[in-house]
Amino acid sequence: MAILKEPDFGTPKSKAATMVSLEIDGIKVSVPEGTSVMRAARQVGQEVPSLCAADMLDAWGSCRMCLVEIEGARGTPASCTTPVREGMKVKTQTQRLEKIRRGVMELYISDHPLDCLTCAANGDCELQDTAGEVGLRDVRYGFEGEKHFGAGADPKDESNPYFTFDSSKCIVCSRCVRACEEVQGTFALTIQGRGFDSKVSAGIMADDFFGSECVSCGACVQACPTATLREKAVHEHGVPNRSVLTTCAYCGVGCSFKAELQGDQVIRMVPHKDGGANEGHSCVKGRFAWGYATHKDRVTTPMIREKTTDPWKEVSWDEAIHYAAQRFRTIQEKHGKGSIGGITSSRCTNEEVYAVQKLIRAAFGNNNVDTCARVCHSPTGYGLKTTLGTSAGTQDFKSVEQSDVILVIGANPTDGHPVFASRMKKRLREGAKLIVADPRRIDLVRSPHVAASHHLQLRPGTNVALMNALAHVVVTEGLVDEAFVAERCEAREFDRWRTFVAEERNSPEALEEKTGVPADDVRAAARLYATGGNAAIYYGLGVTEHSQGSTMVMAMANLAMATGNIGREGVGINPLRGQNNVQGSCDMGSFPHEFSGYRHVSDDKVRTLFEGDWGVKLSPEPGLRIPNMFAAAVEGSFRGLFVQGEDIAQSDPNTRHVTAALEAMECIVVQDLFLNETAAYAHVFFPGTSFLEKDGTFTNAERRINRVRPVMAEKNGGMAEWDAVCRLARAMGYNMHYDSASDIMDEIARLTPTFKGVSFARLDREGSMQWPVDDAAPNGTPTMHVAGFVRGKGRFMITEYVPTEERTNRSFPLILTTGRILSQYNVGAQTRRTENSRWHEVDRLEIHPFDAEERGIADGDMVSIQSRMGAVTLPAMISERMPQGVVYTTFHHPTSGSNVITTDQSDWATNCPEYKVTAVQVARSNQPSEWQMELENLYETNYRRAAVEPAE
Amino acid sequence: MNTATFVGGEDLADLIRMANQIAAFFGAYPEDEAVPGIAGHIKDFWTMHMRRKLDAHIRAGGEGLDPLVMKAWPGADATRAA
Ligand code: SF4
Ligand code: SF4
Ligand code: SF4
Ligand code: FES
Repeated sequence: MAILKEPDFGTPKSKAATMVSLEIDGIKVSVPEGTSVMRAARQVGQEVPSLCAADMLDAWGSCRMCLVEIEGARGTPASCTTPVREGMKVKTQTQRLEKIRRGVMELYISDHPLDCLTCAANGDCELQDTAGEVGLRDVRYGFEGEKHFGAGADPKDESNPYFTFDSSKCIVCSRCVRACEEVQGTFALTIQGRGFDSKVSAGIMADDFFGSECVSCGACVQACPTATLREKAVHEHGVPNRSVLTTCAYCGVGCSFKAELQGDQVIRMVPHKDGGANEGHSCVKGRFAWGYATHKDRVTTPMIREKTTDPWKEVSWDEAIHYAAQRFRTIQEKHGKGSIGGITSSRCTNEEVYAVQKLIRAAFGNNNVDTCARVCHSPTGYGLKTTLGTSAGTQDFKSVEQSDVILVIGANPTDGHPVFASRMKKRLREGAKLIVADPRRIDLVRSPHVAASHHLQLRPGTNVALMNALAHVVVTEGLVDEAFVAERCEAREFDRWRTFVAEERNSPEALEEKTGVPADDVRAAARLYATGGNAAIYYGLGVTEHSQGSTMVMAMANLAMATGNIGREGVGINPLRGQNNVQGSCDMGSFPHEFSGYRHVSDDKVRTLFEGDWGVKLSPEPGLRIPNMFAAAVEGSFRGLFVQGEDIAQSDPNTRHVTAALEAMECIVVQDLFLNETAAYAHVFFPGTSFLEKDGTFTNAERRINRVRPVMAEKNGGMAEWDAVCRLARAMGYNMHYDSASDIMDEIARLTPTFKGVSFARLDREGSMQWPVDDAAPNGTPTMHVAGFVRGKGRFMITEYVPTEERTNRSFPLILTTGRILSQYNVGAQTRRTENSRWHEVDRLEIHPFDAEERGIADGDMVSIQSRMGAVTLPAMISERMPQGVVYTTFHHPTSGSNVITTDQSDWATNCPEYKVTAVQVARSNQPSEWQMELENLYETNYRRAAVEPAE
Repeated sequence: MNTATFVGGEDLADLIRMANQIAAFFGAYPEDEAVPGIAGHIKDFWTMHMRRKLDAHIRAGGEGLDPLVMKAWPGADATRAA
């Protein structure tokens, strides 16, 4: 489509129910109470000019450009700050107004360079447009002697890798400052000075944007009406001329974007105001870090090799597909049907994931399919399904606007899910209360205008104990919502649970020693959660990646049910999902025991349905999970693997075990953008497509199905990933064919009750939909379990605290826990290939000053981290965020190898690995670990590519 | 018989640990519920290979296993018609 300019109504939408009628330039209009005159006028197409207003921001009233006349009122009030009143008669265009507006404009322009023709914003500048609208023709004030531009101007601030700040063009409308405060919640910008001398500045301490508190979300750039804040790409290439609506491919928030292009070159990604997940906001990753899509490291030609020590050989698609099929078939002939399998990717579209699991079930003839979601959110599915009946979060993101108490557990939203964090912080600034349960003092605990009421700084591995203690207080202090429980939950299960948590051994006092959280804090937090109004739980991998991950998810569901905090807006239990399509890849039948829509493979009715549709006999036995695959590979019975867009060599726990398994296999096919760590062990490489080339859907953490649309042709020779998968299936003798991704979605809808009403046509028409979309909810389901639970009655589960077997002792006295940071994403294959690396050049080990001092470690020293499994070396960072006895690192860089030291422990129900608790010792060191040296060697051998002969 | 279902290579020690972890969760329930709970969970999530391997161990006395796993076993080992 041509460039999409979303209408800007100048002030935010009013949520009031009462309607007010008025007349604007003789046109009758009815709007909710609290609407501004400006918004009402723009709704009926009367464009009042403005400079300081934007509908993402509260009205400010500083530019005086939007003046109107109101019958019976004196003067010319600013329409952005004047609310509508019943019966009002407004005039937006009179001679008097024209004159005033022109005068104001003249003042602005007298202090503004007149290099419009060569300005980066030419054609995309509100100042320029407004000057045109008000009919400005000449400027009477002199331009001489200005400090704001010309020789006296401040130099441009180019420190941010993605945008520039050129103060000479600033009209001090403060939209950037307000965007940073109101939308992003970072408060990095201020207006310094007064009157004619005032200017925007990035903080007091910092000289420039890069050194400031700025997190590079881009909200200010979007808000700026002039060229002052502008994307560097626009400076370089000019203003884009067409847009494609699509979805960010980084995290589980699933922000909607307008990809703005010239031809098929992306100039910038701008968050879409109608995007359900983000409503016009973005973070540094989605907004700016898409350059990896065209990075020179991308492999775009299929490649094969006999042995992993051979150099790669580039071949045609046909040859690669037949080579892979033939090797897989040979393995199956020799070692049986079950000797191969595959792994789906949470970064790929629903359609691509669905195709891979079908390849495995129908063409491979077994259920050996798993997903990397295994290593992050599998306990969410299990725990929520057991208690509530559905394997997904209960709310949409918007729901947080109605929350009064927000409990954040084991998640770091400002880094992991930034756009949702901004929405959450907005609500917290409005007065909602915050409880954080996390071993680390995450940013949210104390950030500008946000402070947690309670930070429950528990010891890693004691989540369930803490939850039981909270529940104990609720039950013993009479804070149970008895009416809710009686109506909505199974009575017998509830009574049992009540008796269990009421036992003295589950009291905060009894558990204090285990959790390390003072009993009084636990009691106060429980009271707040139970009685503070709408209480919502948001959690992350700090909940799931534990040996009791599933138990913990159930414990949270128990607490929410007991206090009646489920089934309406503002409450609920919400997983913050890591990768963009974790929810979708689980929904699509990526687990070895389930078809799409979470239906067990042993269920005859369901299996018969799939057998009928797919025309093939299917196995009723659960297949191998990822850890089973690795174990079987080491043992020798599992010998072939198809890996879709996932770097298992780096992201799975216990790297050494994984590499031993990968080395043992006869044929590994990797479908990815880059030769990732796993590809070092691969025999066939299928070049993948970036999200900018994909046609399909992603499903975010709020179950929202969003469209991903191609903005450029596939760079891998025009092969959609699902198409390569179908061709592989056909080469293996199973006839799998689709005309388009939309065709795949039609099949998903046909076979999956919760997707019944979903189609590309509807998504294109309606924007997005939240599953279930079925007969009961034809337009989707923003809030789950409203009238009753999906499973009927809610089921309380007894959640006995069982300490992990991974314990500290004298040799391994510290607990290591892991996490992620804002600018980098997961294993970093994409973000490392963008300028985002400038914010995070290496992974570091955060350690408490006391623990550091005891070991003679100074900030920046190289330290070795030794666990029972292995050792790695990283620079230390001394940090008061850590409690004593706990150290922390991220795993964004392959050479850090955090997973060399994490253990085999896993969640009891789903085998989600226990990344969050590893007993370690830390000591000063000056050389890389043995593993890090081996990795260097591997880089030298396994990534070689044969010299390519020139194409004929 | 379909050899496909026999693929696997878990350490027995791992299987014992995992089975005991499952028993630890369901152990909070009265035995008449814990036993089918454990059996159902293992049947739903474990591969045939894992079940067979633990079965052999149980036949050999089941050393190191939670007694609840032993009690649950007949229900968990049932194989489905492939
Ligand atoms: S990019 Fe975001 S965080 Fe940085 S100054 Fe602008 S609005 Fe604030
Ligand atoms: S930088 Fe842009 S948004 Fe900020 S005050 Fe100046 S003109 Fe307004
Ligand atoms: S919050 Fe997540 S989905 Fe949104 S722009 Fe950032 S990375 Fe993308
Ligand atoms: S838009 Fe109303 S005063 Fe600026």
